[in-house]
Amino acid sequence: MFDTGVNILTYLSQGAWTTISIFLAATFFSFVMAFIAGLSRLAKNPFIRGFTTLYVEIFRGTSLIVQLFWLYYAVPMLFNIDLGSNWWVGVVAIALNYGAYMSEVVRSSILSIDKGQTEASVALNLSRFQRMRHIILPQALRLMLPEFGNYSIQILKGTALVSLIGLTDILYYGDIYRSSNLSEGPLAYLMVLVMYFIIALPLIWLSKKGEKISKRGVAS
Amino acid sequence: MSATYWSWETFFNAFPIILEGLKITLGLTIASYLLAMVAGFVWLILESTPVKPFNFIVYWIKEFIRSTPPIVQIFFLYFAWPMVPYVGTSFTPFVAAMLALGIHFSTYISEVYRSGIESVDKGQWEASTALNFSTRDKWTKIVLPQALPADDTDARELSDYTVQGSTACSNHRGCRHTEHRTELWRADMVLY
Repeated sequence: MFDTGVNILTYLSQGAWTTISIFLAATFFSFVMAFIAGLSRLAKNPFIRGFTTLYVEIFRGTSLIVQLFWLYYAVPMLFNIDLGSNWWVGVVAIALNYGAYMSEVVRSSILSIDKGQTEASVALNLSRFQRMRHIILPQALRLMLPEFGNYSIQILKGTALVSLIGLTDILYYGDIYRSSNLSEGPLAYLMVLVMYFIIALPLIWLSKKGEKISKRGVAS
Repeated sequence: MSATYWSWETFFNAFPIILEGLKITLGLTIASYLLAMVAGFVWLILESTPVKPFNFIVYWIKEFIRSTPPIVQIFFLYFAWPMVPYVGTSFTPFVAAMLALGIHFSTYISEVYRSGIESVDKGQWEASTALNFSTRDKWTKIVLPQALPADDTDARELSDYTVQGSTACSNHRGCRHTEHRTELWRADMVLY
C-alpha cells in the first residue's frame, strides 16, 4: 500500500513541472492583468472603463473550462490566431480568467483607502500618477495580500483543468495511471490530490503571512 | 486559411442541445449550493469542539479539501470511490459532482459563516450572558440573526464560484458532444 503510493507519486511527478510552470506563468500574467484591469476600471476615460468592465464581467461570468475550450478550439478557427502551443493556451486562459477576478481585488482595495489620503495629496500638489504611486498604492497593496494569496491557490486548482486540452500535467498522468491500474484508482486520485496539496502548502503559508501583514497596525 | 467557421445555422441547431445541458448545470448548481450551505455549518460545529487534536485534524482536512482542485475530487468520487475497499457502491455522475462540489465549496462557506459570526460584537455575547440566555438562545436569538445578513456579499461571490465549478463539470459530462465548441461559450452567456 505504502509502496504503491510512493510509486504513484513518482509516476505523477512527471507531470509536476507542467503544472508548476503553468501555475507560475499564469500567476504572473494574472497579476499583470489584475493591475492593468483594476487600474483601468478607475480611469477617468469612460471608454477604457466600459471596455474593462466588459472584459471583467465576461471572464468572471463564464467558467474557466469553457474559456479554455474557446481559446483552444474556437479562437484559432474563427480568427486564425494561433497561440503557438497548448501551454500558452492554458496560461493565457487562466491568466485572463483570474486576472478578471483579481482586478476586483485591486479595485476594491484602492477604493477602500481613505478619501482623506487623496485630498491630502491633492493639497500637497502631487500629480495623479504620483498620488497613485506614492500614496494610494503602497497602502492598498497591503490590503490586497490575503486575497492574492487565496487567488494563487485558486489558480493552482484551475491548472488542473488544462489536462482537458491535452497538456500532460499531474491530473493527466493520474488519469493514465488509473486507466491502466483500475483497482488502484482510489489511491491514484488520492495521490493526485496529495500532490496538489503539497504544491499548495507554501501558498497556504504565504496567504497566512499576507493576512498577518495586512492586519499589522490596523485597529479592528 | 481565410474561411471562418462561424455559421448561424450550427449556432441555432446547437441551441436545443445546450438547453438540455443547461438543465443539468442549473440543477447541479442549486443542489451543490444547498449541500454546501448545510455542510458549512457542519464544519463550524466540528471546529468548535473543545478537543484540540481533533480540531487540528479537522483544520487540515478542511485545508486539504480547500486547496485541491474540485475536478480531481469529482473524478475521485466518480471513478475511484466504487473501488475503495468495502464500499462497492457507485454514484451517478450527477450525485458524484454534487457531493464533490458541495463539500468543496462548503469549506469556503464555513469561512463565510465564521467571519459573519466573528463580526458580531463581543458586547452582544456579554449582554446575552448578563441577561441569562441559554447557549441555544444566545445562538438562535442573538448571534445568528446578526451574523447571517453579514454573509450576504460574500455569499454572492461564493455563488459565483459554485456556478463556475458546476458548469465546469456539467460541460464535461453533459454538453461534451455539442457540435461546435463555440456554442459552448454561448451556452454560458445564456446562463448568466
